[in-house]
Amino acid sequence: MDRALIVTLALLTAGALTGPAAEAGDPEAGMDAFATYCADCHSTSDDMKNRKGPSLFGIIGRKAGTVPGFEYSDANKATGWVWTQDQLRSYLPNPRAAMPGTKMKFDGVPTGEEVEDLIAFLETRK
Amino acid sequence: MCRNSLTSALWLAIAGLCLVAFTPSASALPSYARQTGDSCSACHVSAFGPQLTPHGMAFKLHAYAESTGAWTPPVSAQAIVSYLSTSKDNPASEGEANGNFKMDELGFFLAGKIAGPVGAFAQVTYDGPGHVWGIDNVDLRAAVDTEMDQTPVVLGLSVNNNPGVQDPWNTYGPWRYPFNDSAFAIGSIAAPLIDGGLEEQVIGATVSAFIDSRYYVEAGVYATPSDGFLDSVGVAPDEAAKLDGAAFYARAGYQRDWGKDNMHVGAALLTANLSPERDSSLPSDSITDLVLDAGYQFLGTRKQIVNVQGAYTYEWRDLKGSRFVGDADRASADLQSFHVDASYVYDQTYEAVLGLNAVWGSSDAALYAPDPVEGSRTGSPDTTSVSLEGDWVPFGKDDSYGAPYANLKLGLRLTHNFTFNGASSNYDGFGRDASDNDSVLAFLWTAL
Ligand code: HEC
Repeated sequence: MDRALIVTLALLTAGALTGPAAEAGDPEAGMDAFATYCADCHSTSDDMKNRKGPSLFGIIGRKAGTVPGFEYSDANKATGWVWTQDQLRSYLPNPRAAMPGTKMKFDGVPTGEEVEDLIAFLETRK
Repeated sequence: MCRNSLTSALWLAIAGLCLVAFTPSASALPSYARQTGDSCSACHVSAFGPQLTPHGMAFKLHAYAESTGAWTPPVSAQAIVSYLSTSKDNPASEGEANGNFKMDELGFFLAGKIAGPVGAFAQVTYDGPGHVWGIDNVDLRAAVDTEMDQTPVVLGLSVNNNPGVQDPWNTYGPWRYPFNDSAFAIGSIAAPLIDGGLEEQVIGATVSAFIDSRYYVEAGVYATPSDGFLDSVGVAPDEAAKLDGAAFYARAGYQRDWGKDNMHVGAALLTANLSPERDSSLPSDSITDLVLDAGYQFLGTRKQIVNVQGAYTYEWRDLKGSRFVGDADRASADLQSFHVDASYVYDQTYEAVLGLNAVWGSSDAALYAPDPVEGSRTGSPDTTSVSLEGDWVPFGKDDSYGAPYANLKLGLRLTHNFTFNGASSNYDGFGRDASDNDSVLAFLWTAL
């Protein structure tokens, strides 16, 4: 067997053993999902423009509640979260449940697939 | 005279265009966009008002007071210039030639957050053809977010001067299609009271609750202010309706917002007693309007938007007062109206709207009497028309030129009347046909 194939098989086995790996999102579809669900309140342009919600440019890896010039709720600032992919996965389906007291008035992203697509899109905005 | 107004309208149009073209850094009310950091297209279908998206509705229900935190001046201005051509001249419009190029309105707004949870939409308008300044629609609001068993509730208070101006949907009252008209448009003889019959002539207060972003309930009362007050805000008292006691207004709606699309169904009620000839010692007319309305919006990624909405109104009329003074033959009567509009918007920039309007009701030869152009030969109010509008909204998006200052809507509306004031031919008793009122309206609407 050639080496690449062995590595691939090994990775696939490891993937199978560690449980279903989330299917990687599609950034293009994520851009549409962002336009549908988020763009009314958030911008991802690199000028860090705040709207009803803070700028999401460079959000992945950033500490929660730290965009300059945006008035966050106490709930958001108090979390101490860092917006990793996993943190977004647990937040986006139902923000108010994940962060009681948040002033983000959004009911949640309906499907897991759209959440993955959004994360893939946000990864490109930094 | 005519040449003068034409030149002044032209100058205004040029001034308007200059404002649009030369101011740095969009929306129906640009001060809202500046305050929230949102683009006009977040709150309005087609990047120019007034038609609201659920996001715009939430902003209104939160008292126009949401902001990014930084203070921005809550002021805006708008100008509407139009050219109206009716198929046949309007002989009643003394000396005004058909094909009028007019500055219809020049308006200034106090619009946005005033302090804390208090905000305003308050318009002062210069009526071009009438050459007068006057108070226009005013909606002063306060709102608080609370929770009932973990369900979010927005509680609101509105002090306003036009039943319906505070409504979050665009199906009746001041915010329904068509959103503007020429000051020279020939109006049909009857409309339900809730469609503008009390506008700017009353003051009222309503309280509302929007529960779980789904259930909307509202109730309140309206009264006629003193003549002195009306006079001071530029409303001619002798032309204003006079309420006998308080009018009652109630509204309920159910909305679902799925992000990609949304819908609502609702009902509204307005009951009022009106004194004929503004004389409260005479018996009064009792009017009750029941409106049933519904709407659907497909927003998707906002690239292609479809919006359909409509309302049916039944008006119960007990015209004892009008009969007493000889303005009506019968006391017990009704009036009904139905209108629906469907629009398609591409890229928040190009919009096509198809509208249908119908009013019908019991006949009354005294109430609807023959009169050139404005009257009725048959004593019937029945009017049915269709209109087709095309609009171009070049700015107002996030990445637009001049955002959020440059805002412009250019529109063309064709209206055809099947029947007018009760008939299709010789409807007024003076030889005018319904189709003689068919019109072409071109307009330029800017906001700053
Ligand atoms: C109705 C407006 C609105 C919508 C729609 C909305 N958000 Fe928000 N968002 C906010 C507000 C307001 C905040 C600030 C929350 C706080 O301070 O409690 C926020 C905060 C956030 C944060 C935390 C930012 C930080 O710096 O801590 C993230 C991440 C976020 N939103 C992502 C999204 C995504 C992704 C979507 C679309 C799926 C979305 N939001 C839709 C208004 C909105």
